[in-house]
Amino acid sequence: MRRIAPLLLLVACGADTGRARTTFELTAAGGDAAYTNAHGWRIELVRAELHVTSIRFFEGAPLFSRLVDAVLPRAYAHPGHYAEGDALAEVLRPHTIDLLGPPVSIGVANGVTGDYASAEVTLTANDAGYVARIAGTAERDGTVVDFSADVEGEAAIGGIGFGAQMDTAGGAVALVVDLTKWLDRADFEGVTDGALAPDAQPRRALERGLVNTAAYVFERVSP
Amino acid sequence: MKRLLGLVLLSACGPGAGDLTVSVYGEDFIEQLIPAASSSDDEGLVDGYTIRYSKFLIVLADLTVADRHGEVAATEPKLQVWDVHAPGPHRLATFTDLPAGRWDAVSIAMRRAAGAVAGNASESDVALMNDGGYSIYAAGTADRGDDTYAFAWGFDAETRFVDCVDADEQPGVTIPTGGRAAMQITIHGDHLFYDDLQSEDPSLRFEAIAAADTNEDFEVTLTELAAIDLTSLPSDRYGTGGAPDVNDLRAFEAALTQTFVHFQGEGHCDQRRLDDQR
Repeated sequence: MRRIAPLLLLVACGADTGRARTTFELTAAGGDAAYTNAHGWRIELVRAELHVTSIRFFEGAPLFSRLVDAVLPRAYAHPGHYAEGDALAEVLRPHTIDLLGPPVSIGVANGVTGDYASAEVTLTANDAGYVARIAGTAERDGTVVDFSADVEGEAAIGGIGFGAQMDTAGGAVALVVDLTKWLDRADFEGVTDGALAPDAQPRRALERGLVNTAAYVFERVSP
Repeated sequence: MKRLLGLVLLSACGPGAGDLTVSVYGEDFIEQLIPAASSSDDEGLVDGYTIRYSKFLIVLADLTVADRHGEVAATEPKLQVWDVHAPGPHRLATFTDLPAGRWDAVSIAMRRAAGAVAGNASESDVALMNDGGYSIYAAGTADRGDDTYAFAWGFDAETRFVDCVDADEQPGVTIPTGGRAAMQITIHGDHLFYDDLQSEDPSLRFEAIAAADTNEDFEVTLTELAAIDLTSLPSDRYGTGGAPDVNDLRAFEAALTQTFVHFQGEGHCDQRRLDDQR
């Protein structure tokens, strides 16, 4: 996973920028924990945790996003593909989220009003040493694999599509982590029970799934 | 006297007219080569390969020079095949007597060939694109040491590039009264070897593509690329952001073709997908 980005300053508010201060609550929850993946394995997760250290919102839209066609206003074909633009809001409260539990508040975002187009989720290891911890079973044609994995390291998952016009009304933004994306490309063929080895295909698929921006779905909740 | 003064003012403050030439250009990366990077800060492929294109064809259509209120100054709707490996820039269109001023909504489309005509491409290249239904066709070699890999890939992704801005973020083009403005559609051929769809700072690589040559004939085909699941590659490379259904190297390359079109060199455009990449 790639390194985290340095801290960014939020764009200022005031008459010059046409922006006003705003705050909104950020909640997080996991999506479906039982699903059939692209390799035909029926996945049932009994543990799914994610340690988030910050979430930031930006004005620049990602080039490749499931939302590009429908919502996002700008997506540059750019030498680096994705230009995040100005930071508009952030939550800087580290939180290990139990994605199989009910939605939890992970803090109040401080920011400015305007057209939001993308978000960045930063992951760093928690005190237990992982950014994500999963466990569950994979079943296909009568073969069942009990697996678990702790993913270490750090990552800044940038360019997550989030098209919303944020005003002073505040309200809330909900983050839903689509767990189907984490293991969608995992093939458990030949994998033995236990912790996934670093070079096991499901482990590599999980590491890619973790930083797949499509796994992180932000939605504004009307105040 | 009053009437005469009025005429003078009209002449000074009226919109006037000017000309516009539009070109398409593949730059040195397509015309000459993409070098191996000599250091980590250098431009080029970080794994030591050198790319030389032998053919680079693109199908463009629906050039529109307009403003954001919908006023259209000029259009070139023709579906044309451009050979941007040939030394350029190549004249795409010339417009005369356009209303002077800033036209801040420039757009163009990369389309699949179907009854496309030649821009500057040869008759056989036009037939190649029409027969294959391609929007992009890229062929060439990648060299490192004694190894030379050949590739010849056709893609059919369609994309519309709108609201183009130059490298200084200035939108569109300004037509000077009594003068001529120049506008360039710049094709960035190095993007075909980017190792990330989303990163702000991707690297150029060929190693994974070379490794896809499973029959060891030193020609990497799209079929071979399709057999490489991205999960078999190091997890810090070939990231897909949130691009849907990009699970193998062929789909990855196809997605990259949607980033080729730029404006006035390093300027860029908003991208609107016209269909799913293939």
